[in-house]
Amino acid sequence: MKRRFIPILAAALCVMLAASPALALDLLSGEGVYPLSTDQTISWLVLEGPTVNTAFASWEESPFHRDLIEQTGVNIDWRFVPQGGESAAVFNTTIASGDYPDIIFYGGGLLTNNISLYMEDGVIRDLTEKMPEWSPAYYAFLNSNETYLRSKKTDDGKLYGYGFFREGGGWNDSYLGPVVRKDWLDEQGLELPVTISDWDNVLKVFKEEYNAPLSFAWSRVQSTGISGAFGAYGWSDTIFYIDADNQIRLAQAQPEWRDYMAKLNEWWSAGLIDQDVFTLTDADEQTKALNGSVGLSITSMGQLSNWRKDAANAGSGAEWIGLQYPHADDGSLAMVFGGYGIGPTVSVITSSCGDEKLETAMRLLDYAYTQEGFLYWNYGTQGLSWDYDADGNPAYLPIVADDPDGINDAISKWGGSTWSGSCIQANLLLYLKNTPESIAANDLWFYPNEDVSAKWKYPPGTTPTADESLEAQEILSSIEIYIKETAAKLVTGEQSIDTFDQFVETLNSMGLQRVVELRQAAYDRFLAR
Amino acid sequence: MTSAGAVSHAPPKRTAGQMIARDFRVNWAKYLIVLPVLAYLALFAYKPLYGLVIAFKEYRPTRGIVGSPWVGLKQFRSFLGDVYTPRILRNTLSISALTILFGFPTPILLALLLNELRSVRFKRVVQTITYMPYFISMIVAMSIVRIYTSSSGMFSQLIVSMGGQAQNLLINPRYFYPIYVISDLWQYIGWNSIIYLAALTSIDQEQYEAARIDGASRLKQVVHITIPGLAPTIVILFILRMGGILNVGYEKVLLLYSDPTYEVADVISTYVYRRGILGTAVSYSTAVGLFNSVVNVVFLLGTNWISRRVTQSGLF
Repeated sequence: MKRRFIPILAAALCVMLAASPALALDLLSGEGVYPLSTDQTISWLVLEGPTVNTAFASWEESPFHRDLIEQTGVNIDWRFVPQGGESAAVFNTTIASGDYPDIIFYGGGLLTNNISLYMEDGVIRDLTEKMPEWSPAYYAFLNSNETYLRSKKTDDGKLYGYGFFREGGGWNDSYLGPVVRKDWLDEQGLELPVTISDWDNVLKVFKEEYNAPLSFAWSRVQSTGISGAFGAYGWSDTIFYIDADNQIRLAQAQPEWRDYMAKLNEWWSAGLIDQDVFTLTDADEQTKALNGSVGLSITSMGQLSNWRKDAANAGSGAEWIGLQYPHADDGSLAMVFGGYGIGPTVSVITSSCGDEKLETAMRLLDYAYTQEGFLYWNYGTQGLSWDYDADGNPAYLPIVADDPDGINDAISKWGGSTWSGSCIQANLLLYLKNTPESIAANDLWFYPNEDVSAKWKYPPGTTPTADESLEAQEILSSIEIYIKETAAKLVTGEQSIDTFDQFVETLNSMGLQRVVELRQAAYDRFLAR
Repeated sequence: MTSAGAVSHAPPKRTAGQMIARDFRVNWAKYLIVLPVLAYLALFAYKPLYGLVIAFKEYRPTRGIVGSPWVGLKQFRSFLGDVYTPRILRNTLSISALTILFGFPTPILLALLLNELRSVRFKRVVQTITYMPYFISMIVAMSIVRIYTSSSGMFSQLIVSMGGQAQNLLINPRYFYPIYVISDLWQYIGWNSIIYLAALTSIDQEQYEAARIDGASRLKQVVHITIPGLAPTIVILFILRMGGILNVGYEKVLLLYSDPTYEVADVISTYVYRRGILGTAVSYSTAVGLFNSVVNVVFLLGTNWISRRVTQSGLF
């Protein structure tokens, strides 16, 4: 845990990171293999992630897509969602047409919840047999980590796709957390709040002195918010978590959740929570932060950068910093928002890709997991968009660093891993594109809480059967709405906290136990892989 | 055919096929003109009807419409058995009935008022201002509504100035319908009045002249000439509107509702959006859509029937 004390300077962090053995990737080299000498064309439908940057009219102008062809030697017939189209609709019509592209990259539930179904129906190819031979780098990478391998095979051990992984594990999955105005704390002589009681105090002072209640964009808290301080595992989104005994439980059916709602209701009644939170977007919240009508909030590292930028431009003196998640008064913290560093997105090879082309397609996808491909997918072409700096770390060249659209946008013109892709996202990429303060905030949200950031979370890559998916969906569609509105009513006081037992009873009558059983079954099979 | 006619005075019995064939020979040019329209209807209005069969199947994209297994009325039973079905039906009918109650007569009233204006300039200005909200995109229009109803918005501040508490009006289930209906009026009153203004111009001016000579006041003229002149238009539009009673657009509700107001704001279309688009239950959503259409048709026919009884005019 040495990392916790790293100074917040990004440069220093990068150096430390490169030297940190835990994060060093041990990838196979693709030297001598790429570029392949083939005249085969592989069609690749990209429904999210590495799509063509809006600065370009077509992929022919996009350096990432154009040069990947050169790097791999494979002629790629790129396909994307047409302008104004929805990826789910494109996926559906593609599958219904029966005329599949060779590779589909997608992360929506339509694909990921139905892997077994699509394999059964012969849409997705089983790659298990050829994987060691034709995708050695990916195969080695999967086998380097038990969780990676487990999350990318089916219950009967078949390999079917190339996933998205973060080099830094769960670090960037904990991109949400509390933020506070340090200058106000200093002005009032307050310490950084640590426990819920401290939060009580800070909120009261901020309300009295600045008329600034606790406020946040709804999308940033509806998943979990600060539930960890209460021993709870969710707020308003239906969350099934894994308890210490590997049992699946619904966050909202636990007494800890009632305590969480009771506290929020107490704050709401005292006017300590912004009355508009249920309808606030990131943009609304950014305005509130700029206007000084919020002092304690929960947001993402990207938004934190925006708020700081606004404050600097306006010269308001507002100093927003990341804040560790609040703990219970006894010092415990059950969970924080996070994940395993494994995305749900995956590139699958369809049955349209015949045996004669399979090797080309598998080698094309394997490239991203080789040493050379890892660099290419993250930074682009060496000498054009990046080169090694004096310390031997990749650094963006001015064409990216000084791009008028901003570095964040520029990275996605040259690399394919900014959001997701069938690749490994470099940690350094995240360090280069974010401000030091947001990185410090993300460090604070993740490193001290590393133990509780992912282990509670239902893992990506479980493969429910088609019938299980359908049955669970049907029950959940009612339960999800019921939880959302009850959570809102409990907070606003429209419904008394005393009705909690009835609430749980109603959930049970809606079929909650059945969903838990289904989830448990899929999870047990996942563990048994 | 003429030879047959020459033998007997009674017209020979012809089969339907023969009649069509004869008609076609005489009117082939007209058939040719109608053909593209028929093709259009067949292709875009009737062929897609076939897709409705998936309401009785468990649709799987990989197996296609034909290959997916039949499940009978399972989807309908599942919809009617859902705990939230009574609620979304009630909400849909409430919102629809309220928008008809307030949104249907007001454009007529506006048209009548505009018709009475003498200053053409003023009339134009009023018309332009009332049309304008119609042309604002729904997303922008609803953002405006959200800002106005937030705790720091105009209405909340008005409450504060009268000694009340600042509050977000949009999260209060009691205010959801008023906000929905009033913003609907604001958006559509001008646009919807256009058709009535057009109908007004077709009323014979001599009737007014005659009435004036007979000493009718302006109010009497409105009651006895203008309104009867508008009646057929009103009736037809009303029947059409009733035919869409279960159609409450999802865009507006989706943009206005939030967790605390699901109880009153969740309607059929938002429900279908969540289950069908987000939850990808294609067959289920189709079944709900079919149910929706059937209810709409019942209302359409019912209103038409009542209208024929009462006003002797109707769509068919």
